Amino acid sequence: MENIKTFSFKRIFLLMQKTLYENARSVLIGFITVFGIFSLVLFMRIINGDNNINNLQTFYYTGFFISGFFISGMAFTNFRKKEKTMSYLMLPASIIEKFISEWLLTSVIFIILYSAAFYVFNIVLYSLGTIYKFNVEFVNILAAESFKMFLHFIIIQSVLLAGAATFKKAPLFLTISVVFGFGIIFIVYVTFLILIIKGQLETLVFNNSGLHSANVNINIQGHWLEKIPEIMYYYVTAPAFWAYTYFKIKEKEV
Amino acid sequence: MITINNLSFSYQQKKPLFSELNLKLKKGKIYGLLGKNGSGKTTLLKQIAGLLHPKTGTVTVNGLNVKKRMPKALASYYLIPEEFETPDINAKTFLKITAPFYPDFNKSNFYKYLKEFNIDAEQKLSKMSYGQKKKFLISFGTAADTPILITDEPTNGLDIPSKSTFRKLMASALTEDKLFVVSTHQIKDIEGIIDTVVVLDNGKIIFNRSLEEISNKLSFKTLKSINEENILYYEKGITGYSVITRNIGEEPSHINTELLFNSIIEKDSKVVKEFN
Amino acid sequence: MNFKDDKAIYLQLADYFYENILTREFKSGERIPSVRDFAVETEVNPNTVMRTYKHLQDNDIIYNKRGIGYFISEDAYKITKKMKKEEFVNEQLPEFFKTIKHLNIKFKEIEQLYENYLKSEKNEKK
Repeated sequence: MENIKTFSFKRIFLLMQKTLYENARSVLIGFITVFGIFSLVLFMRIINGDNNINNLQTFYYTGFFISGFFISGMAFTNFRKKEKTMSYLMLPASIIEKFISEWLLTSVIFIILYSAAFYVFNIVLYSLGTIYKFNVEFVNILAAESFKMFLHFIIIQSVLLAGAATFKKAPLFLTISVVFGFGIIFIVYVTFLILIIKGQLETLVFNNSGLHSANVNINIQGHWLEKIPEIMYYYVTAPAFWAYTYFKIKEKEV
Repeated sequence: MITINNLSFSYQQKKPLFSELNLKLKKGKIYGLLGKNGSGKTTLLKQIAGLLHPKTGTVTVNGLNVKKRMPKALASYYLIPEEFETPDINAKTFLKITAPFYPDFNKSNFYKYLKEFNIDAEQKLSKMSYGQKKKFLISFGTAADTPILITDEPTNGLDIPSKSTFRKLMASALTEDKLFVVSTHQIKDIEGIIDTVVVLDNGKIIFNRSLEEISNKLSFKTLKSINEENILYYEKGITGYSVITRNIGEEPSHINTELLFNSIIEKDSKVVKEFN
Repeated sequence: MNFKDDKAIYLQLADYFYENILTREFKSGERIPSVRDFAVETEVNPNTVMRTYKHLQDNDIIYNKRGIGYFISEDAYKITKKMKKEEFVNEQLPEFFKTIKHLNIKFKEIEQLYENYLKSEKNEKK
């Protein structure tokens, strides 16, 4: 046997190829569903006399996040079944390679594939517009705004990836539930903390603006504390969840 | 080579499955791993394949710790489990996307084996019967040409001609630098093909001897009565007693594997003591 | 190949060669299958076949030409015949005597039966 290295780009490519081949049908069905819904909605608008299709950007973004979340829920699809987990764990590739391949597929490759598909969809729509006389806006996929959206997606997606590596069944649903659960606990905790600090516990009123009322009077503008949430979000979230995912694969037993 | 040192493992806190288990399997051999139901044969195979982590102790294949799941260690063995899932693609596509992970994969052997098993390479794997899937996996695992091939109940679900093909495959694939482990409770199916008997019982390997050693030390015979001195184990049958005695200069007899197994797992087994 | 329960498999494989040598099916100087081919054919572990070949080699029935394979030796027939005769005289014959004694069968009768057997065998060959 030749000397096998611990890390190789070729194996990452092979892993992605294998996952794509084995899940081609589900991915295809997903894409067809998303673009099918777009077509249906637009078709309804056009036959109802709306001949100015100028908010495709919204379609692009909405479709991107929804299908992106579903794709991320499909990450580590082998972990859904005991037998598949076994063959996946025994496949001769290192843990880091397995992690990178799943991450690439559900983030970078997905972004490229989805955007390309949307671009084609846009062109087809535009051509139809010239025939059937309706205006179609061209979405600038490579706009700065898009890249900002990609960045947000990659950050949020790291949480879903971690969920996919953790839960055996319905990872997308369970991950979102857990995040919401933690979110609520966190908000309640912070609210009470702030109120205690400010000695205003007795004035807590769950009025129209709800729990937001708590941070109205807090002023940390200009203070370094202000930067914490931003730093956490941009620099800590994704790496932390990636690391978690890596260890989850590493420690997986079946 | 597979080396297990002081392996302890349990699924539940209070019920240890393995305690201080030691095992050394060498290349050039086909091992028959035997054990009662629930003795943990499958769990032991999973430990060897790095699918479960030991509580204490180490498992290494060709000197590499399987716990780390490094590509080099993973590429040195192939495990054909008893239960498996196959993707919705045909054998050809499976070969294309999976074989490259195994550097020594032999494609022509793979197609040769499929042909011997009468498996259509164009048929979707998910549409195959259990037996057909198994034959496909045996073909793939053997063609992967890894130094170690581990099979869990390989003959389970195979028809009679396929069992014969399986034995032929094992016989043809074994070379001096290969190690095969066949775990089974259907000893008769693999009797001729194994050369070493390994018995797992009560969380330990209690027996690990080659057929040559066994037939040199023990004699298997049928007797009318059991008043002979050197009897180590006997079972009463219709035609008389099936007996294991000490072999004192006799011609090596046919090893009755079922009788041997029963004699080994017996409490305070005299047969086991004979080898220690 | 079907195996019986009376003998170690490696010896049953050796018997296969003895039989074929006695019937002149395998002739001196002829090459026999390689260990692997014979193992595949008989569905037996190659190490067991190796043991058979070693056993046959020890009895000078076959010899090994390095890198080429195993061949039936010059004296294979002579040795096999002598060995099998000894085995017959020592093992089967006492059983046979015991039986004819019990059944009170005269040697004359046996002789007649043997001649009949030879005749029918000749006829079969025709």
